Amino acid sequence: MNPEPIIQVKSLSRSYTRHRRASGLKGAIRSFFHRQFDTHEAVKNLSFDIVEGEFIGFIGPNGAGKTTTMKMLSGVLYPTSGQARVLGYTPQQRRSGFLKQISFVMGQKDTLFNDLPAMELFLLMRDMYEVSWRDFERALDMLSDLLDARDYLDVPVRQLSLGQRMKCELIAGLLHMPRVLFLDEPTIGLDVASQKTIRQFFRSYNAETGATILLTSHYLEDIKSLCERIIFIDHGVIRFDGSRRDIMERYATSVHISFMTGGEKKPDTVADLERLGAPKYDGATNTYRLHVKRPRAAAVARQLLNAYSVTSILIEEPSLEEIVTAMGEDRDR
Amino acid sequence: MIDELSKYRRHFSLTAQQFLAYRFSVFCSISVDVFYPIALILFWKAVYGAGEGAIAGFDLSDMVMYMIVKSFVSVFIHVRAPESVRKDIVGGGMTRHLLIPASYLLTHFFQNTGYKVSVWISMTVLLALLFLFFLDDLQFADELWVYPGGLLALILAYLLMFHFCFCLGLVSFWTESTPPLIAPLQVLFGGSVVPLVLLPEVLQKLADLLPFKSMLYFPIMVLIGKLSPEAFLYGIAMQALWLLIMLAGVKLLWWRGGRRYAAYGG
Repeated sequence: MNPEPIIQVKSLSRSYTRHRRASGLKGAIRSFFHRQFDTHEAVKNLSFDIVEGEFIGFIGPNGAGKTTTMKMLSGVLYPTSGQARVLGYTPQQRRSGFLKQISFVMGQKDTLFNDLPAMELFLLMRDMYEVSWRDFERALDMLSDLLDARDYLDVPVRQLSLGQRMKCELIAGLLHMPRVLFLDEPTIGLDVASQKTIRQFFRSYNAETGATILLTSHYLEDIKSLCERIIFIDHGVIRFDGSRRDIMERYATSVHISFMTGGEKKPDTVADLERLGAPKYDGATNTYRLHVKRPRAAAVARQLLNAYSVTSILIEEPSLEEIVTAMGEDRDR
Repeated sequence: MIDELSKYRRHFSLTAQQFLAYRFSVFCSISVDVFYPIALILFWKAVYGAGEGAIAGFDLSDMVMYMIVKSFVSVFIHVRAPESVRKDIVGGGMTRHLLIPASYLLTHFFQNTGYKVSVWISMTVLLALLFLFFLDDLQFADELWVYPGGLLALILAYLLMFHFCFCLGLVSFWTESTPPLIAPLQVLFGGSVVPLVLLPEVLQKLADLLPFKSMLYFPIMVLIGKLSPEAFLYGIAMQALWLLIMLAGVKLLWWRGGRRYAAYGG
């Protein structure tokens, strides 16, 4: 028997009214006397369920409707039509019992008081969510250890690096141990090491607390390494909703074969490889790269090994970036 | 069990701390509040020095008292809400407020009051200096009820001003801007430049129909002892009535406006 979903979304839509005007002074004057508006449908008729403990990745191009969907599920935005139930609540009613069980962390927007140490914000959050001192200290210990953030909790926020601020944002957002966590681009602008730390942190948090996590990120490595289920949204519509494995099977129809040659037997020109798959040559590393349909991969690898003096060969899955591009192309067809 | 109000007290404390983090800007903002009444007092001293005894019942001593008390009341009731609420609505800053289990109105109220208390404390010192400077021209009210009564009128005026400004801020859900109404309307109908009794009768009658008199002119007149006990009670009743109207306005605008919130900016 399937577990009861804690997030239920039925025919959810949201549109915005936008003010439009021509550029230049003439456009400004015309717009002053005669305003023109249009309606933009950001999210159209979305339906899906999420069960407790799932780690979901929302992917799609900019303006696809990912953040709008999460904002409706967290109660920030009223849907234009349709309905959502999260933890048994209607989000936009913003009941205290609902808000105490969720958190929304945005990588592009800080909530910290710039002139004060992060600890002041944590104390404010303790009051907001009515966390007891014992639970507060326990959560703070756990989170600052996981994120290695103890050293700078008493430093004014404006003196912290971007990565340190993000870690403080995460601590502030998680002190009340939410059951549902919305993460909107949480690793944006961070260096590779910080991204890795934060990814590891989300994995641990999901495993240790059983929290349900919805993540949007343009760093597809975030999605690939964390999310078992992926929802691809484009132009406000769900194009794919399934497991990471499904997405690979459906859209990762080709693989990359990279090989290096060391002896006499090597391709005379890159065009020699044309019959095997779309070839590219990287002179700096002396590496040939072929784009091959998955069922032919083994046969092509064998042919390469037979035909040339291959010193190393690597068969790689396509990146999620390529998969998203393939999904977009699939939509356009 | 954590006290429900403690979250707002923390906002109060944090805003006061943030304000006090910049000593130079605290000093500048207070100085500006003091220069303006000095200029007005010097202007009225020149007018009365030219031979006027009393204008509409205000002699020089009344006028100097009016200007000093007015500067105090203006600072006391000043509210940052219209602009900060507008920024939250248009810039998307409201999102973070909507995600936490706390009232947006109360959060703003305690933040504004936290900011005000730091101003009030510093302002009191400077106003004391102002009183000393013009001591020869001053005449304080004899009746003792005026002082607690004035305090009550001040508190109600602050609450009224806060809710009025909050309503103006919420209008940004539709207009995306806040009309710069408060200062000009207070000049005309609140007595911020001259006592209302000096204005033409038609403007005085209009002022009776608007809330600005209850916000500024009424507490000033109580504190300088120019009102009878009956007029005081009537004024308090008017403040309470306007406050109820503003509370209803906040509720309606929040309920309707929340549906329009677009959470732009991330």
